[in-house]
Amino acid sequence: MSFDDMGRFSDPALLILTSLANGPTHGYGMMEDIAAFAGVKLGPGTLYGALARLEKLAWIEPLPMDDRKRPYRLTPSGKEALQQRLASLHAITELGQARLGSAT
Amino acid sequence: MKQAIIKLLLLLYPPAWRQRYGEEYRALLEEMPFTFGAGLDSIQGALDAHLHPEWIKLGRWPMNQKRSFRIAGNAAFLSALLLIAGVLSASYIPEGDAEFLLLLTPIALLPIVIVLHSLYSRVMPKASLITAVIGSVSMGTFLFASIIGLMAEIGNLSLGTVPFAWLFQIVIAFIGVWIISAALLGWRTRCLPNGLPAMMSTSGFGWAVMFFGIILASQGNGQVSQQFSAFMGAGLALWLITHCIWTIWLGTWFWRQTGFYGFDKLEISS
Repeated sequence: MSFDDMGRFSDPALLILTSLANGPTHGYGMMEDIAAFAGVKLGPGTLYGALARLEKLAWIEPLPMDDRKRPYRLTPSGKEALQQRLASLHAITELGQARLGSAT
Repeated sequence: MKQAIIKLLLLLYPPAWRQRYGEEYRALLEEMPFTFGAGLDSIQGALDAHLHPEWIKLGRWPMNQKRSFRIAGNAAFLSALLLIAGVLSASYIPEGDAEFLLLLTPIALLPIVIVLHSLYSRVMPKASLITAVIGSVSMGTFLFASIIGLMAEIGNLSLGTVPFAWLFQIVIAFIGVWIISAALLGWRTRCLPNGLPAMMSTSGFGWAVMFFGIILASQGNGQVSQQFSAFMGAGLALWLITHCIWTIWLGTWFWRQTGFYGFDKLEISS
């Protein structure tokens, strides 16, 4: 299982994992954090579609409810998946920059 | 107004999804600034949850569930064994006895009524309760009628003397309705493996057709009675073929949940 198996939820999943890398938080906390660091407003259906997939993959885990809100946290396998994804994106970014540099 | 919209948006999600995420999702919708776009996104999320139920992960079974799973698994195997014994012994034992053995098979399903109810009630409590009542009343009536039949045979009494026999038969026909409704709930709640609900439904349909055929054949006469007897025969054949398959399938599935085969699949998801 990888990000690619999540289809249209792969980008929201990456944003959620990045948000949770900063510590456990609940749904609305993630939405606000993601809007702040990425400028992306995740809708509630998209957020929970991605959360369900991440939970099924055991990349995140739910914590006990806190006043009807459920915080989630990153698991070790989730951290590893995020690192791999970021490394892959970093390699693409570097290659893209290099090609753009050589083209000019 | 906002509360009514939130309630409606939640209702669009599958019951299994609501059981797992409903409360926290409602809290999120209440807290966030609600826009038309957010509503559309929620509808899209609900559609996705219906199309991809494999991504819904529910909680693990409580550990004390294992014992009831074993009992239900054994009950399913016993029901299949009774059916096989009834079919195999049909040509060796007096007419009527093999039939009696065959008809006992649904009584062995009683523990399954209770265990499936305990699973379904976590996701769809009302529908599960109605199904459990249909199952227990119809099987309880069948058990009672079987005891009366046995006593009548011992005492050499005619079963025709039993008052309201047709009413008993109608209630017993509802065992088929229980099997169908239990199958539908298994499919709707994603509790049962793919394919099993379809097999169960076919079997339940066969049982119901068989018993309604018996009732109608006993009410009519001449050609009409013969036609309903054929109707009954078709139901019997359908039930005989499918009952064994679904009970062994369900029994194996119950045992698998307990880790008996070395698998640890203690979760509702497929």
